[in-house]
Amino acid sequence: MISFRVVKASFVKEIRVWRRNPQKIVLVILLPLMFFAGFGGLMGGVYFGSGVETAVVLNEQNPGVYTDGLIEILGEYDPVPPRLDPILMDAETANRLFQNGDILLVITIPDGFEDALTNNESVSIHIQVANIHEDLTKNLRMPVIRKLDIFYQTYLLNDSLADFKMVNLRPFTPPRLAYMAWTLSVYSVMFGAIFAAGSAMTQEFEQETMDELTLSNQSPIAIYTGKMLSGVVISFAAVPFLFILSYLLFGVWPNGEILTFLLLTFLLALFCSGIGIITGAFFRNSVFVVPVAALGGVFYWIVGGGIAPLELVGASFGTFNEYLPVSNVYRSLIRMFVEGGYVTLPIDFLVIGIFAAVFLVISPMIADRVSNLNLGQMVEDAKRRRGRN
Amino acid sequence: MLREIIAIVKKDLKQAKRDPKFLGPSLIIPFAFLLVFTIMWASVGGGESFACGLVIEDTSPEANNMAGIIENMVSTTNHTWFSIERFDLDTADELYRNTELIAYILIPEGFGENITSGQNATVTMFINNANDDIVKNYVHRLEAAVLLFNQGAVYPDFDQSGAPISISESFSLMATPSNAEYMAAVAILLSLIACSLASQAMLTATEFETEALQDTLNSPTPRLALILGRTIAAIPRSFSALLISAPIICFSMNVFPKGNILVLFGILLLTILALVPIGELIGMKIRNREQALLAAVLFTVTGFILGGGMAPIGLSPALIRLGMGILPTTHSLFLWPRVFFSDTLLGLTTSTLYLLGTWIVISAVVIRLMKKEVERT
Repeated sequence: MISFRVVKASFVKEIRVWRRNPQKIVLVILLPLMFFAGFGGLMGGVYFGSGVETAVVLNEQNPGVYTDGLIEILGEYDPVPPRLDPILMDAETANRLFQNGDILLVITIPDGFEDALTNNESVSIHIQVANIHEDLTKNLRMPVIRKLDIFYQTYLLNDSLADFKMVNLRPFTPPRLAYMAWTLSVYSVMFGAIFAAGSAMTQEFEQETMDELTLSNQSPIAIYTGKMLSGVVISFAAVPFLFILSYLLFGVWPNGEILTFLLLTFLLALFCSGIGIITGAFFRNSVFVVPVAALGGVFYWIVGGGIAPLELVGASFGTFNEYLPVSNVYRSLIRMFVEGGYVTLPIDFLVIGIFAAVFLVISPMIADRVSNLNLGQMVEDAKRRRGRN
Repeated sequence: MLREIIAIVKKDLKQAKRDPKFLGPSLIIPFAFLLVFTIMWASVGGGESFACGLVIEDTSPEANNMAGIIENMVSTTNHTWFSIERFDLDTADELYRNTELIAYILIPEGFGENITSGQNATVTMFINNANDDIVKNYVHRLEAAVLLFNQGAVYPDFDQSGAPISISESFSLMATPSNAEYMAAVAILLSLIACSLASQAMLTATEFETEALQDTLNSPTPRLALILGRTIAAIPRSFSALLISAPIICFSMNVFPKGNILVLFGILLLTILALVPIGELIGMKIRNREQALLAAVLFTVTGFILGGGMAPIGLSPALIRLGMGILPTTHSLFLWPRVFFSDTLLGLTTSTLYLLGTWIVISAVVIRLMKKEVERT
């Protein structure tokens, strides 16, 4: 029978340890924020700022309405990113900057451009693209194609009979970076819970206090349950920072009920804390727990739809992913954040609830068993036996 | 001094051999990143990961031309992003409203008639605007198709020569590396970054915990010898992670360097030189093995992402690029893929000098901290 007094004592002790080590709490808060800053910084280049610096080489000797119009369109604000930030320069400078990797896109307007368009002749503009990888190449080429289409629709009306229009499914399009901040809040709970609970276990091994714990005449399972619960509390440290930051930067809050968010993430934190104490007992060293927690979290953040809302856009999670509890939490919360809907909530709540309840019971037991195994000693014994034979 | 440097190198290498735990993050981080991002590119933005419906209500040759462009424009967009599947209107609309289809394009009845009579003909895209990135990618694709149609560049030739304005293109590399190939190349560097930082931070913090560093600092060994010895020892220690990670990554991803191997080796060496004193700084400031490791992992991951490990930082606003340029990892990540994917020496000077400068400046800071530590003890 588990003593709740011991659970509480273990929980309070762990919280005290965390209060004494603010650097560790800083990591729990800082890592998700760093991820957000990192992804935001990278992908943000597409979405905010003055646009992609683009060298425009104007070889046209007699620019007129068409040449000026094209240059104007290249520099115009575009609601569809990435935007271009054209900088006029001579061909030699543009080529040097491009070869050195200082500029990634060069557009050359040839001599005779104006004359050709005035006389209904064909002319070609040349673009140089730094094709460092596919995604970057796409994001450099497509705005040029878009700008040229706008030029056709504006200046070459007889040659642009086909056009297009977009009809959105929802009245509101969430900014991608705000969306990423919301989903990173789920990541932060997952990472925080695994790291905090795992760290609570590894510190006992690293400070050689595990024997004192197991010989203390208290139920180790109760002690580990207390450690697990401390992980649940710590795991929420970064959440308010992420939501507030996304609101300050993009001016939007996610849709849905805070209570649903708290319920689902609480169950997720419980499940992840269970994983955390088992991981801590197995590795016995924070060297392994930190990257496992950080990268395991990133893995699920991506495959669960943290970057793109897979389930909402019809892409299947895949059979393997569909029945993993972390993905279920992402699925319901993403739907809630974007649409304010709860279509999959009952099934997802049930799945994560079952996993959380099971792990609340079995994790301390497994951690107890694993912490009694001394793998290093077993290897040594095996070596000795082989030596004897 | 040489004798002392050799002694320090031997001591550090012996310690690394005795406690090879630093290899943990050096291997886990790059492999996990590679796995994660390969899955990411495959599932949310690579190849033809999403399907887009196409509904054609018009049987005219013009409508067929437009459909042909939409379905086959791979050669023009290079990176397709989504596949096209034909549906009837009711099915497409039902799938779209149930969010089983992210978007569908409708070529309406009368499209061809409008074109032949010189009137505007509009193609409509119905899109699930779950975020602005999705909208961006789909708008771009449809817009490219419309432009090709207006240029008269129809399937199968996509010949733009008769268009008022066509686009001719040239690229910096012979072939565009896929997103996964890029990730594989930088994962090799990431392994080295993680190893250089984590191993040095842990080593220094451990020596603080065991108070061995204070003894060394108070010995007559010159601090310069100490720094040089520790840096030299860090070179083979950091390369040890690459002995495992580089062959696995290259062979499993079928990605091999195209640039000069000696130049690539030089970039790795410069990266080690710039990062080892930073690892030393982390260890000296934190003085706790566990927390030093945390800080090293944090620095590695953020330095990697901010420095352009996922995607080159060229699209970021100038101010952010300038800020990221402070990190030595940004310069390593600029140099590495450049030489990995092409045999070039162009544009390497600035970043090379920056890495060398970082090594010298941070080493000087570490020497200063050592002096302070001696005075304190």
